[in-house]
Amino acid sequence: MTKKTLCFDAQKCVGCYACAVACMDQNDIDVVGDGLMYRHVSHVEEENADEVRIVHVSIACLHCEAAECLDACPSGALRRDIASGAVIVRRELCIGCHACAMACPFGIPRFGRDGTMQKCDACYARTRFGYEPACAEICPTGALSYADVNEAAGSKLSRFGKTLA
Amino acid sequence: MGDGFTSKPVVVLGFGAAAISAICALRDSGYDGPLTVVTDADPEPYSPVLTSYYVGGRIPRDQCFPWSDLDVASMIDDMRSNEHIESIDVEAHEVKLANGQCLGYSKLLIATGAQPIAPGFPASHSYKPHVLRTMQDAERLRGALIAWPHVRVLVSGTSMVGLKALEACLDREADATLLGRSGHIMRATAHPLVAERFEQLLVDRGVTLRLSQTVVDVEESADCPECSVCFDDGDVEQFDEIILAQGVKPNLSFVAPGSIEMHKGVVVDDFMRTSAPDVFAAGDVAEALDVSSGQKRIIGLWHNAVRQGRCAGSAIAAECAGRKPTRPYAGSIPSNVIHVRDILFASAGSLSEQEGRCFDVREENGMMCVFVYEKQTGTDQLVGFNILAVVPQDGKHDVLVDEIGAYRREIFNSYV
Amino acid sequence: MNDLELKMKGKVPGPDTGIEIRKSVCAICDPGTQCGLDLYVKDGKIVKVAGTKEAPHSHGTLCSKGAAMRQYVYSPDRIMTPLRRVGERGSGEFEPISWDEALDEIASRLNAIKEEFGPESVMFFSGYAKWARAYLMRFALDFGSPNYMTESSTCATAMVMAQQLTYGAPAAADLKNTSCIVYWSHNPSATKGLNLAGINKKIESGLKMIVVDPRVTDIAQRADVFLQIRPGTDGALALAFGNVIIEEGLYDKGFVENWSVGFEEYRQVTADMTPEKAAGICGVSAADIRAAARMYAEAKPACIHFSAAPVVHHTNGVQNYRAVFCLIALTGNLDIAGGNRMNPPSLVHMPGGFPTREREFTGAQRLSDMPERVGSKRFPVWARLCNEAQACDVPRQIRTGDPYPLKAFFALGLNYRMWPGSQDFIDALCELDVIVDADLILTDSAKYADIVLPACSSAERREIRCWPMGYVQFSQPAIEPVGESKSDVQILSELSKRLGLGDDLLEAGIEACVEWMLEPCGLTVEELNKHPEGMWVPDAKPPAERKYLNGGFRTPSGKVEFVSTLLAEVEGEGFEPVPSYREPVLSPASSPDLADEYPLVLGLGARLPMYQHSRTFRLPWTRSLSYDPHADVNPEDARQAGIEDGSWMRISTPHGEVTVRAHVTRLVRVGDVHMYHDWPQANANDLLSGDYLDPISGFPGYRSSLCKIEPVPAEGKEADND
Repeated sequence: MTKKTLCFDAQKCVGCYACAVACMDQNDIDVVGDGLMYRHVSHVEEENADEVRIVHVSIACLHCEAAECLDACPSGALRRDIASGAVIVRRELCIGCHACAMACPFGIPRFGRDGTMQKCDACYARTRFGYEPACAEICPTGALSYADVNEAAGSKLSRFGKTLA
Repeated sequence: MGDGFTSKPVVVLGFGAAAISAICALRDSGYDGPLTVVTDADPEPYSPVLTSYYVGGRIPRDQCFPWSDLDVASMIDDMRSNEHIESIDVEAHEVKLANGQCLGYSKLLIATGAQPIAPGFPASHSYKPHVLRTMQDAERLRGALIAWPHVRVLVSGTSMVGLKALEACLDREADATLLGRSGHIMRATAHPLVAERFEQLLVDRGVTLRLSQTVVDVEESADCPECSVCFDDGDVEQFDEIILAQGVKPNLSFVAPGSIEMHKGVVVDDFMRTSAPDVFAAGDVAEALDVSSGQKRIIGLWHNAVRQGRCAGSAIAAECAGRKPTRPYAGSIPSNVIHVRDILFASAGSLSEQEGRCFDVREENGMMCVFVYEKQTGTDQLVGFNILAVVPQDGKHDVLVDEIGAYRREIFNSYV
Repeated sequence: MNDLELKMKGKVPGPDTGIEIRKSVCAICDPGTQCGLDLYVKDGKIVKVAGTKEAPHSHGTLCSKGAAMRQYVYSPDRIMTPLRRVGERGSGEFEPISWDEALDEIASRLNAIKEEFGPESVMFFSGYAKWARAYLMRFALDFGSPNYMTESSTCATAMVMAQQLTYGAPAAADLKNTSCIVYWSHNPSATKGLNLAGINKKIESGLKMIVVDPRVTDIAQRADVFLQIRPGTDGALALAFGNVIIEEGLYDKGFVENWSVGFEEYRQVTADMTPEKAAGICGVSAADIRAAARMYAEAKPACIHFSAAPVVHHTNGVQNYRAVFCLIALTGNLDIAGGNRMNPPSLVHMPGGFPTREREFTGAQRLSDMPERVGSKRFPVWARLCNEAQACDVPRQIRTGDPYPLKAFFALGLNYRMWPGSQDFIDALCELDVIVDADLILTDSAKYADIVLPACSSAERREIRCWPMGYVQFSQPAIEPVGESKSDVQILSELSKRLGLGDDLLEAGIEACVEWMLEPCGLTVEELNKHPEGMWVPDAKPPAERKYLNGGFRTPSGKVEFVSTLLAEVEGEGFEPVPSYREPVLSPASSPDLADEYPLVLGLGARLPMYQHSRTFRLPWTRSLSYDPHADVNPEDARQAGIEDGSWMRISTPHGEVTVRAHVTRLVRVGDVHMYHDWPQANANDLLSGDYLDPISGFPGYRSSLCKIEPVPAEGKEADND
């Protein structure tokens, strides 16, 4: 079986936020209460010569192969889901020490009112049963997709990840 | 025993984060030979980072054992818990135990961690101050803090462990006094302005500060379980308990001077190899690469212990298989993140005043930040930062706090 | 977690989890998209929303608005029962009443007004939702009132009028078959993101693209030529396109000769608008104008993808769009594949490629025997071309009683903040004897109603929709209506009975009405019911090209009218029969004295992708993405005013002021301020007066007026937690 992963292509992203809301819907995120969104869409204005361009970025946990957060977590709250490769947080074990935040170069770990970490789990509870992650499933432009790992390696995600890192 | 040199086991000394990470890496890398572990602790590995949370009542005791759903035991052939190591003989490839037994090794990993020390703190005849490292330490301190309300506690030491012990005291509604030899807390990592603000935040939360002070004498009262503590300014104050959290030293008493190159810790190369053949070291005992200074030094962090352990484990597995190890330790930079109640302090890199550096001190949204830049041609390079924030009720703190890892990486990348 | 727990967490449908997927349709934005919804329902409640994969239009995708459907349906602000006002109008004090009481009271009060003042004194209004409009129009005409009106008094209708004046009927861009697209003030990434996947593919295979927009948009940065014009100068630009195309002989001489009238007059007007002159007016380069005009004229086929509102939201809007639409005829791209196609609508404004009796269902033909509609005298061209009343004239007629008194307003959805001079609009409504409003939630506008009726969402009702490729869906309710809410059509059907209108078909309910409307295409409700996810219409076929070859164009002359016969019959400024460029009434060029104090051009109505007007404002998920009201300002203007990005600023006009956050961005021109609309705590439309209107269409000049900006100290502005 080929392994799939979430891929992002900034060339196709128009910053529509569908992924962010689909994520909130899938995960019942109570943004008024203690819920924090897992997926963030941002818009970067680039200016070169007399031209202005806007680049949109949809980012959530990248579930890095060498995940620094996993190494940094002293409480066993972070673990890797073997089937999907997703890095998962078990909030009941999280002590809110922020070691993962210090380890993650992408600013992914966020902490809610109870002080525990919240982040994307790549919808491992959906992919396990053959369904796509909510963000990739909904994306109107194909900027986010749930694709074969090997394809992803050559995709813009990895390039993007490198620039960010 | 075995039938020759190669069947000697890999022996791992210690059973903490570095050791377990190494054991997992060994097995993940395909090492299927014998594996022996020697530890002076119980066979179930605990996380020293979690003990202050247990003391403070934030987590139950069970939760101090973060590897409980990982079947480490199945990876180990010979588990020697509650055993003290007497010495090692690097020539003979042998470990001597206090019980007189001798263990031969093919490869040896020293991952024995560190223990608290309290240099300069006067000894008392009958009162044994608390420390915070092992589960036993934690049990004893927890018992003391819940004995009655408003236990009067003196915490000596203002770095990471001291502040986490202080938090546990606050969690238990103890009356806490924080004692520091220097003028500011977190002397090694905090900019003086940030430290000053941090101190004020602690005072606001009911902590009494005694900075630039030392203790000259501790006397236990005759008929009640309290101590009279004499400070160097002449003050005398009564405390129910004292916690010493001034620092740690690596557990290396079993290494004979001259047998392995060491300073404070054992010096290791990029694959965690020491100067002695087939001896590796990882975690709080290892002086590994600090990329920011280019020096070998101990940076005692969980994160580093795990990475170093993994590096050592896969290097040992490679060498056992007759291959050269391929995944070097990338080094680290000093970094620190600590929570004390609702106060979050994060730092990384270097905050020291040096020629050609500029300091950007910012105060906004209830935060105080210092960013240190080194003047370079083109753009200025970030070399260090402090962020001190009070996490608001809704948990939604400033975006800068979310970016601490990105800053750390930016500093790290500038050196590699 | 065991497998079942994991499935519950993942919301995986199946008998073990008890989660069932029900097919529905999203009607948050409307019309033209209507994405298929897969509603994950457990124990009668929606637990998750996804797109319908088999929907040929949306392919399983949704936008951020549709993704928030669950919060839209289960908003804590949903109205649970009919309400009767007990406090002052606007106070929001109501008592719950039964449906019987509510409908009886509405019927008796409306019939009493009909008796005393005539049926025309009762207005029947539809808010944003489009799906129930045919039923409402039929209902109004059954009642005897010609005053069926909608929010389309400020949306889309003027764009249709400009096309009716020019070539008789709307002609939509055929994106699929084209080789060149001119996006004329259209930002698909905020409104029709679903189309973008296809466009991206076409760009890769050599599609030419021109974008005209005052703001840098996503689509603009994919363009070969981007013309970032000053708001409201579209007409000058279009005439300059015409100038280049005619000067360089790039126009379709055969088509112009055989199928148009007034070309010579048009040629003269364009001759005066050189690219250099237009460059000065529009603030773009003459070279770019020439390049774009050539690109559009030389590509065969080429289409213009315009939008419903932006260009006609200027006081010169219809004339500006007339100038744009003339280009379609001039280049011979009218009603050809890959050009702009004249496809008649099947249902709810959408051409499905099959005939229906929707128009007959409305009973529009009865209008000719009725008194004149609201706005007819003030906007004679509107009255000639459109079946609705022009609601922008409602406040005037309420206050003057000219030509007859207005007494009641029956609304299916109302947002008074959509009208220019909003406060004045609602103040005028308050002079009426009766206001009835049906809505999902108790909006600020609903608070002014005497009786409020709880309506339900598309997830809770049936509605019929079609798509251009010949697909049709008669959706099933996915869940029971929330509270005692009912669908708009059910409300009309039941009220029709109480009013004694004698309309057996409407009283029989939506299935009967749909069956009646679909009769010409042979589809039956029975067949549709078998396909809750929708189905292909068996005999749907794309309409023929060049339909004008049989019977000409639906203009008075039967040809494309560069010179409009109809406009020639109207006296007054702004009604020039040839599309002529006039400055917006308020602009730095037309009102320089005012511009001394209010130097910036104010554009209202730019969109954010998570908001469809005010429809998803109250949903925590969408609102969390952009909480405070804000406006786009260029860094240079911000610097001059001493305003920083993210700080609060005051936008003032002679008519009013609002406080918003500044979004300092180079995506807008120096000199322009673009404000996102519909924020309750900063109502953009109160910055305009209610009579700032285009004389042809009656449309408000939302997108260009004058303003100034000033910093507001942060201490003075607490974030509004509305």
